Amino acid sequence: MKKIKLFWILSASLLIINLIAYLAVKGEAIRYISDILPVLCSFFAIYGMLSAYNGFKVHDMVRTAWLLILIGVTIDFLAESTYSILELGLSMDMDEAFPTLADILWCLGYLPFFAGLVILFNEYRKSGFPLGNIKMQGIILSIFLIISVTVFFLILTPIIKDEETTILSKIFSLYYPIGDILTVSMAMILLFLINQFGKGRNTLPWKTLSLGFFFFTISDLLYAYFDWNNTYDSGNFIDLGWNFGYLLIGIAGLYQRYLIDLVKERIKL
Amino acid sequence: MTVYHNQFAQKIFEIISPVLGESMAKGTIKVHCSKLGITEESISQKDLTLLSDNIRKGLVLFVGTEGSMLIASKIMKL
Repeated sequence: MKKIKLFWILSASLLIINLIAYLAVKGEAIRYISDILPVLCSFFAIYGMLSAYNGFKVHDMVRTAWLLILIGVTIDFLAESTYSILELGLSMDMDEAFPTLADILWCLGYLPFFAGLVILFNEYRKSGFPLGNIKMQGIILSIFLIISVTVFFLILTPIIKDEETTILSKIFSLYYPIGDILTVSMAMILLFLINQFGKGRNTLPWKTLSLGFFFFTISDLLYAYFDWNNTYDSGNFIDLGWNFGYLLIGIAGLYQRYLIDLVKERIKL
Repeated sequence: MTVYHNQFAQKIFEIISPVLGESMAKGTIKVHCSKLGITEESISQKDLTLLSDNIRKGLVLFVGTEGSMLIASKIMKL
């Protein structure tokens, strides 16, 4: 538990540094902060997920799910690092060069994330635990439909209609919001299911994991909207959502490991 | 704090509630007893094998195969 508290303090410190830097630092330095912090935060996410994966000693579907999420954050770490190298090291104009190798990696990262969340949902379904009442399921479905329709009209339609953008750029620009909606939908379903368990220790890994994906998606969708309207630049507060998302995913991994270790300790006593 | 008159129900509750939380632990015991055609207050020694196996299947989700088997074996030994 000490490690998790330390991780929370570290996360809060990083976000405060991020916020202060965006408010106080101007010029080229902001680009460095904007590019390097996500690399650092995604690295912490790998650390947390690796900790969870190593906690499961027997290979089963639940371990596979956590492995897939670990693969997802590793791909994202590589994407963040590639983006930094291209922009800071090679001074590449990332808007002109879009899509880059970093975009290919980010798009690839959605697949293990989504697969991991689907496996967790499927395992929950098989576990015999309650799936919640129909009223709540209806509310969730309605929220999902409202978000999807909003994203379709505000983000997807302008991209599809744009005649100056190449087909390749359009494919990547559309892939991000669609991938986000699918991933966050699964994460929100898991959050709804785990909320039925109240505030127990077993709920913390899934809660923080789902919230991590939620913050990630909010930032991604805002980025897609602002970038398409040419109003996004390095140092935008949207970045905080990505960084917080990575850190929450890392914390989810540490909570999962803590839960596994706690059971082993208590039962062996 | 939930208190059962049946000693097995009480001990199972004490084993699984730190993992599942009190309300879900109570619900889990109730559901699995009902699947076996018994109530929480009528659990006997002979029900423990089936009951622990059913509870294990659900717990895999949160603590993995190893953790859930440890919990199931503790229930079996009651």
